[in-house]
Amino acid sequence: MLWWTYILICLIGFGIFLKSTKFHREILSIFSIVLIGILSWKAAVAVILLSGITYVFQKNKITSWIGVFIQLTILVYHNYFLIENWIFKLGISYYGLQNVGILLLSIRQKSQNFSFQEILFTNTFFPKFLSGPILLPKEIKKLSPQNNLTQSNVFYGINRIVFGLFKLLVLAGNLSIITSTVFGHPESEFKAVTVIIASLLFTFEMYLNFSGYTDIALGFAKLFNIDLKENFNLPLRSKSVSEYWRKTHISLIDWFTQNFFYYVTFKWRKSPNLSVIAGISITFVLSGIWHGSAIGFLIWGVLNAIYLIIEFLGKKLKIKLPNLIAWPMVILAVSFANLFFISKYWANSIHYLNNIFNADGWNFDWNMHVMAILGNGGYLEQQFQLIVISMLVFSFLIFEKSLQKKAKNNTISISFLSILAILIFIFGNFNDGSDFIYMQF
Amino acid sequence: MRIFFRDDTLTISMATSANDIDDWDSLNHMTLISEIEKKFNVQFEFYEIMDFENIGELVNSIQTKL
Repeated sequence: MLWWTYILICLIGFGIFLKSTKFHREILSIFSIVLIGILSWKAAVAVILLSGITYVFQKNKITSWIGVFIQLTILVYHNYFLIENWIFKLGISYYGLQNVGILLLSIRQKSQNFSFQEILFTNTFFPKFLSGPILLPKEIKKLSPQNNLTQSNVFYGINRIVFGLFKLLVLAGNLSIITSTVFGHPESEFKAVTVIIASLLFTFEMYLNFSGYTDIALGFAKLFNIDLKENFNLPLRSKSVSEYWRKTHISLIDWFTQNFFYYVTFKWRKSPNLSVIAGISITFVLSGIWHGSAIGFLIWGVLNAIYLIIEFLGKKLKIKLPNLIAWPMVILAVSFANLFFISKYWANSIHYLNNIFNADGWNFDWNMHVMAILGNGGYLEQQFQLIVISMLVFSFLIFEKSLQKKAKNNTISISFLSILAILIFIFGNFNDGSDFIYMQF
Repeated sequence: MRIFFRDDTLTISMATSANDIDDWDSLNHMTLISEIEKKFNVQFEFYEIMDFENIGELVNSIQTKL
């Protein structure tokens, strides 16, 4: 389908939404389903079906169990037997968890009375359909779209969308070119420094890609007067791994915390330390598995759990590292776990680890083994590009806090927007840079 | 509370919530709950704890149980 058809549909949908005086939720759901249907009509059928199941089965404990079973079976099936053109391929990892959240509440507390419109809307709402944020039942209750197109909402939306596009297309898009020189070639030999730098850059890439997507989603949602949940809160500035996980993919971690971690720690609260350790392990093993069947995701989850447990025990022993040491340690630890995440398969992970811990790996020539590889070639021009992109990323991360403040502003700053727009047109990677990493999960 | 979070400067009102205290995260939330249960000899339900928005609601819940 041509791109202008999308725009036409969006304009028509938005027009109807603005003109209508009621049924905003319903209109927006139908509009979202049409957009999903254009991507894949099967995904549209699937989301309606599973929303229906959640609605019907939320009434009592036994049916809720059946509902959870159905949704989890599909989720597991989706992650472990990825089939091309499968009906549940898109978005299920995100809206599936929302449905399970509602049903678990009905099992553990009391029968729920979400309306079909509420469930359908939170599952299909187009900015969040592909990659979240995942909402908890109490957050779903608060969603109410309005055709209240105020100036401040529009300005906020524009700021946030342009900011997200900049992160996604300029920063993450160009970083993905750099990191794929290493992680796209698991058969080649690399020097230790090259793999370490690539892993660090991948940590930045993953954050900028996903948080860029989230900025765009939240910006669009604001046009419908909806405040979606924030998914990131400057995680790369964390001074502990537990702080990092309070600020990264917040909606997923919140979901697991509410549904599993608190449950485990509450049940075993008579032995508080053990229950926390068990809770951390379960939470992170499950969120590892949630990403997919590859062993790398599981190891990623286990490593993060180990970091958190070490930190938890360290806190009990009143060990506190100075920030200047703690911060680089957090980034290195997280990047080390992400090395397993990106290399996915056991053989690949082992290969990169070999490259790092091989004695010969430290015997390197900076230009030949680092610059030429990461720059995708030894020419001056390619290396210059590498340096420019790295400088852009680092200066962005240094000034991120104040830039983010500007992006969440209700007023338009012409200089802010035009600088971002110019950078997007000069440096934007419009080919593969616009892929949402988190769409595949 | 001050003893629990090892912070003498902590000021707590009925509106204080977990967001206001840096060290009050999910990791030590249940440890705090379990301490309170022991101290006041009360028992909480799981979803009561999930619904607490601030100290005030926690205190109210303890008072109804005493």
